[in-house]
Amino acid sequence: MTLFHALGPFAAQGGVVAAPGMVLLTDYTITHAGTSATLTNGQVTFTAITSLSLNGVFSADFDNYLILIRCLGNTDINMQLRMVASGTPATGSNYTTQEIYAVGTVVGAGRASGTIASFQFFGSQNMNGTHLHLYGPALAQPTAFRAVGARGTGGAQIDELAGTHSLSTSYDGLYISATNGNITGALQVYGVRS
Amino acid sequence: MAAGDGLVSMTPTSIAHSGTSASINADGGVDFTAVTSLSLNGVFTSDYDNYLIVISAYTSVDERTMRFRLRASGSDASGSDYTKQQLRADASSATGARTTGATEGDLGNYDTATSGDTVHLYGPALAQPTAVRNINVDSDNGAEILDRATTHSLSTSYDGITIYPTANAITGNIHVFGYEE
Repeated sequence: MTLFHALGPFAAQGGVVAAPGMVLLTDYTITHAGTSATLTNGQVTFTAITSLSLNGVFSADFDNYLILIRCLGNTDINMQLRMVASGTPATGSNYTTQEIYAVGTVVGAGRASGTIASFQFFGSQNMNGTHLHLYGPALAQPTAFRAVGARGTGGAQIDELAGTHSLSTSYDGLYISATNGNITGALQVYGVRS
Repeated sequence: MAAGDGLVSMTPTSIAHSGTSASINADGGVDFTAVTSLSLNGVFTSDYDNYLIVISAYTSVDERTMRFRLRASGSDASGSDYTKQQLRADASSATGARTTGATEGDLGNYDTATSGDTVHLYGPALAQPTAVRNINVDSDNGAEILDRATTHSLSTSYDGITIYPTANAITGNIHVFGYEE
């Protein structure tokens, strides 16, 4: 019997049997404001919502997370977020964001601080999508996030935001809201294996 | 707590190319050598809404933009339905540009040294408009950034994609993944 046969193909590829590197999360609850939102097998589908809370989605199982959103807005919308612990959003003035954008030939940037953080801008034209990366939300450390998206406004725009929340608090949830309209689409949350 | 893999390798049901060669690997990726176009069929399905494409490649001549067209049942969507916005960082220069009514979308730039794209596609197989966002490293001048957002306005379900450089041929690998949902 060869070593390959004794240990299997994973061992033959490097000696380590790896778990999935990224895992779709399914066991959490949601609340929303607006028409409807449903969590089924890890996908949240929503219609004309103005806010959505993901409760119990962050845990000690993963340090880092990816939230993947595709949606249509009913107008140009500034999407914002707050960290949530045991159902209570963190509303202190502990958020800082840095934005860079490209709209036609205009490239701009801006920084803001406050009690809530913008993470993406969505438009009513075409599809919008974003990858929202969260670093350490469930750790008792400050949290960082980064959103990389495609915005359908004007055909296509680039918006990228980096943000931090400065409190060394463990959060188990996330609240997102549309400041001036509503969104229809779907999202999934993935845990990234540390 | 969780389901299975978050990312699922999408093996093309078939491929087509112009140029020297292209082949599907056992893991679902596609290797290509000196192709002027490469079409992947059957990589977008109703099983997944969103996709990740990873490309590493090099060209025979520097500064070739990799273009793409969505594809349905073996035919490229070549109408004037693409809008593309770019954000370029080259040393201390940061610039933007937008093209409307284009007949193709853009990914990053490729050079004679290996360049790469991480491409996010939102809803290509849905009967809705599609959004695409690429994150690029262009090896020109050592390293440049040429990120682009592209939208395609038709509410059509697509099952494939064609990539091609603006000129000359390109060699490398492409792999499509579906985000589990």
